[in-house]
Amino acid sequence: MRMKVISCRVMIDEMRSFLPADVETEVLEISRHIRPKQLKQELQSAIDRADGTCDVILLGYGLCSNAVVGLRARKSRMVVPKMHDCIGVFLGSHQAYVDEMNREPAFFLTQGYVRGYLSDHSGPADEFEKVAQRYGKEKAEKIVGEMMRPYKRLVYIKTVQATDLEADRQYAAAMASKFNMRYEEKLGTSELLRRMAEGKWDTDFVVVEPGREITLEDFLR
Amino acid sequence: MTKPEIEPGTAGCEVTFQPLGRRIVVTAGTTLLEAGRRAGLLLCGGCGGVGICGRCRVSVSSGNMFPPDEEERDFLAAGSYSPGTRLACEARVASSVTVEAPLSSFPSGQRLQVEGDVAVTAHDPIVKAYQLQLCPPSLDDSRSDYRRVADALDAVAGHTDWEMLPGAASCFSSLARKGRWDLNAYTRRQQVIGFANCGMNPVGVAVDVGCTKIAVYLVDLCTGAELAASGTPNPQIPYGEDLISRLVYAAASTEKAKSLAVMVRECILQVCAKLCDSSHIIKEQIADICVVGNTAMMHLLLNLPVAQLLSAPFVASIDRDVDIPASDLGWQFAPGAQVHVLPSIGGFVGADHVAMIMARNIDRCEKLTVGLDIGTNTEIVVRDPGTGSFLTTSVPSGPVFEGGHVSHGMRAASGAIEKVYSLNGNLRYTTIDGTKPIGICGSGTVDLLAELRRIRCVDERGHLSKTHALVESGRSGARFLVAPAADTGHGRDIVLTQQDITQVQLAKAAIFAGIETLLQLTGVSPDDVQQLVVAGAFGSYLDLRSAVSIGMLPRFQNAEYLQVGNAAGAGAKLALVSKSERERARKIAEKAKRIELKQYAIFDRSMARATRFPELRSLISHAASQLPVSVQDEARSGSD
Amino acid sequence: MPSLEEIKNALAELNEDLALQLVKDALAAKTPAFDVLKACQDGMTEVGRRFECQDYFVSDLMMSGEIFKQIGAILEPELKAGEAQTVGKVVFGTVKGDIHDIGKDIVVNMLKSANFEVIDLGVDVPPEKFVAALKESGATVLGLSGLLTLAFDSMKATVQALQTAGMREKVKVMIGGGPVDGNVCRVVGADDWGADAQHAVRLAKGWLTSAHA
Repeated sequence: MRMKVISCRVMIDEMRSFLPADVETEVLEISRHIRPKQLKQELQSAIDRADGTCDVILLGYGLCSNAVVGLRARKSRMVVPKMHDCIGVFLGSHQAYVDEMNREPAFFLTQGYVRGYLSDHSGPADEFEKVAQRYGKEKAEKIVGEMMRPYKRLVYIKTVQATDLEADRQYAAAMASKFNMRYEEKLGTSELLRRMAEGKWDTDFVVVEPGREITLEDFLR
Repeated sequence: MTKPEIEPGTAGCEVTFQPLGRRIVVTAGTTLLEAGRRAGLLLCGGCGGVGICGRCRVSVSSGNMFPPDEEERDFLAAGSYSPGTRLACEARVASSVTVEAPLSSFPSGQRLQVEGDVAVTAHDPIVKAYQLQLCPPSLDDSRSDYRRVADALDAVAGHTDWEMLPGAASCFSSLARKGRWDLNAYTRRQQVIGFANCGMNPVGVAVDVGCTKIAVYLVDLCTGAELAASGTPNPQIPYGEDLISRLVYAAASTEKAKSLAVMVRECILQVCAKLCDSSHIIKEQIADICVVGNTAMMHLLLNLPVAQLLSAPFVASIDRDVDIPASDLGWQFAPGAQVHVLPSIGGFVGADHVAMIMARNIDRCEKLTVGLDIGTNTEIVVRDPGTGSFLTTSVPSGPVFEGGHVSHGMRAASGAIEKVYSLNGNLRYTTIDGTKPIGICGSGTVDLLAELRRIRCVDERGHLSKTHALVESGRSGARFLVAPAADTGHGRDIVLTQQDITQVQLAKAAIFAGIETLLQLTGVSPDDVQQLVVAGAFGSYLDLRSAVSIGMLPRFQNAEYLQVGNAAGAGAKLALVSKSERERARKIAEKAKRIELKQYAIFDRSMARATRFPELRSLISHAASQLPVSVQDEARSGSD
Repeated sequence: MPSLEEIKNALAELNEDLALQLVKDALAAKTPAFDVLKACQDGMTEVGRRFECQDYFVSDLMMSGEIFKQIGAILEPELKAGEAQTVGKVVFGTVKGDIHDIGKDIVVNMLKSANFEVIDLGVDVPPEKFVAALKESGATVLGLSGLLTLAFDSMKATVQALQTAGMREKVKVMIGGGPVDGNVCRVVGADDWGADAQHAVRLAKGWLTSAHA
């Protein structure tokens, strides 16, 4: 079964660790998630390029603010985790995500996030710098502070697949401190990505036959 | 790597050990140490064959050996040894040879336990069997079944006031009324828990629930002898390769948690059934079960809540030992069969670690001991008999040793390169099952790095030398060609990349730093360590010499390095047959102090240093201390 | 007298000082407060457009919200001055599991500016709290906000809670927030959805004035 992968930067490292080295991957930046309509277009383009050149396209995404709704491949199958977003993937289940948010909503980080933020300077700390440069530090405190105000805790999700955690911890702890959040760690898993890579597509996945569009209902339980 | 000139696996070389005349046939390329082991000889007396002490010297009187490598050559040159002297841990046979081994290498007693099988010492089983000769009821002896049995037990057991479980009563009735009034009564303290025909001893089951493999042992509770043993893959693997993933799965819903519990319980039951069959035991003879495993495995088996193990501060549900009826786990054995789960020390340092400590006597021995169980998490224990300091910890070494994070890494399965060694200046490898290689497993990766260091293909910082013939520069950096596509089972090159080396550095550093930190917290120096015990499945296949040479294990000048196999299983067997061992386990869990390494800055510093590879050091520095002064000076000027 | 176009552009350009000054000047020159409000709303729409095509970043969105909030504070007394009575009561909040309030605050402010009495329950609001607030206030319009798709389940649960409490018929429910659209509205069981703050205000007006009609 020939596979191709179109994935968000946040899960690509872990996905690659479960796939043979010769599987083609296309990676989009994390920051796309704030413009879901754009993301939808970019994903469709990527799907169109991969369509027909492989048996199945693995999408390293979730519902992602509805960005994946409406995506369609004509010839290849598509598989995407049945999760609202990457946090659900790394927490291992929808229920775990809901439970965690119901307990106390949190700002989540994973290794993929830290690496993504570091490489394309798109994290809240980077936003802060940008605003500070344009409008001054006080405004930056106000505006980005506003943005981060609702979050009282930062949760770093640690998976077995992650490497060199110390660097991540330093980044996460610094961010927590900057935005007045408590720093917490939670043990998570890349198991869903492993199962996706190994073709074990159970009820935690949306499997889309060629020609069908992904719908919102596919993700609701 | 070049193809071997002498194909390992084909030529048989007969090694004769004099003066006893012990012979063994091994394949070319085998070390004398290994040959000796197989012949029942212990040729190493010091470090355990790790390449540190230089005391495994033997004399080869005839036959061909592969020439010594740089380290051995340097060592031999420094001493005034007779010609033909070789170090057994390094010397490899090239043809049939005759070897003079010192008398001290011929063993006395039980030292050669390779399988983690420790002879059962304490034997005070909780379950006792009494042979009863009963008279069937009659008109003038209409005592109840219970009274009949109790009176008989009073006479033989020497104490009174027996209880009888209803299930045992049913058992009694159906056996006795088939005409057999001579029966074995199984008892636990004051309770009658089951019956069997005479001659059928109560049997116990010891279980080590590992993340990957479950080991089950059937033990006769009267004699303490092991009747049968078997291993089986843990059925939970599809629900999570690593234990955190399984906990996450279980935390998702009560149904999922229950399903994981049921599947592991059923798996154990099936293995028990097979072991019973092969030993001609019936399951009603199983009267006691003792289980060990890491914290996660025990929580999943007992269906304990696990969500709190996933979030800080990561607390266990129950860490004390647990006693429950076997029927609670769906196991129908003797009516009163009970399951005893050993206590855990804390956090993820679980019952299996306690069992390992017991089996290897780490809590009692007079030697300063470091104990390790290497896996995705490596548990480390350091006990100083002098001060009584007893520290344990768990370091996340990551999936490198299970094949993760390395481009061509794989689990130890058919086709995995498991051993890499030098012969005549060329690197060679062997694969599991001898088939064409399709990847490298943990032990192979460690060996490979040791060899690459030895031939200076990788520097101390871990950088691949771009000038080496077998190193190519690819798109994503330098790679070492381990096996070209033509030789592999899947038609692709098997390589070791620069990133792979980094991953190994991180994994090994965690273990090294964990050990170093515990030693510092114990207040002892590496030279004080007398024993390093490596337990566990991976530990059994790991070449400790390679592990020391790459800096995964510290170089302890005065320690003996031991590989002890499944010590957790051995510990489970000890606790199975002995009340006092269970009490001992409780004490270990209480006394051992779990260290949270994250809190110590020394761990971070140690980690940073430990990612580097140690200097290539020959054995001269140690041997030098045993040499007369003048030769020492010569040696020092000649050393690297 | 500043033109409405200038006000719109100042906001779209995120020129805080200029925008505030122009608004004050416009009011001083007797420009109707509602017209000024409309110009600001158009400015916000322009900001949104620029964000979509990647000219603006999230912090620019935040900045525009900041400016708009300040303008709103200036306009509020002017907007209220004309009306004697409130249009009606609206209960508003971000649903359970979601803590984003910026969008909600903008809508709440606009509703207040349009003379609605708004009971703002804040964020992470469980269904029971919405039900209780509706009962207590007698409000017949409920606004549910959420930025995460996780919020959909909470929105659905809230609508079901209304059903269970026997109040569904009496209350009009609107939902809004980043990922909300007609599809979501249908799945959640709401009556309608607001694509932006102005839309939300129009919906509320429509429901409450038709009720009085």
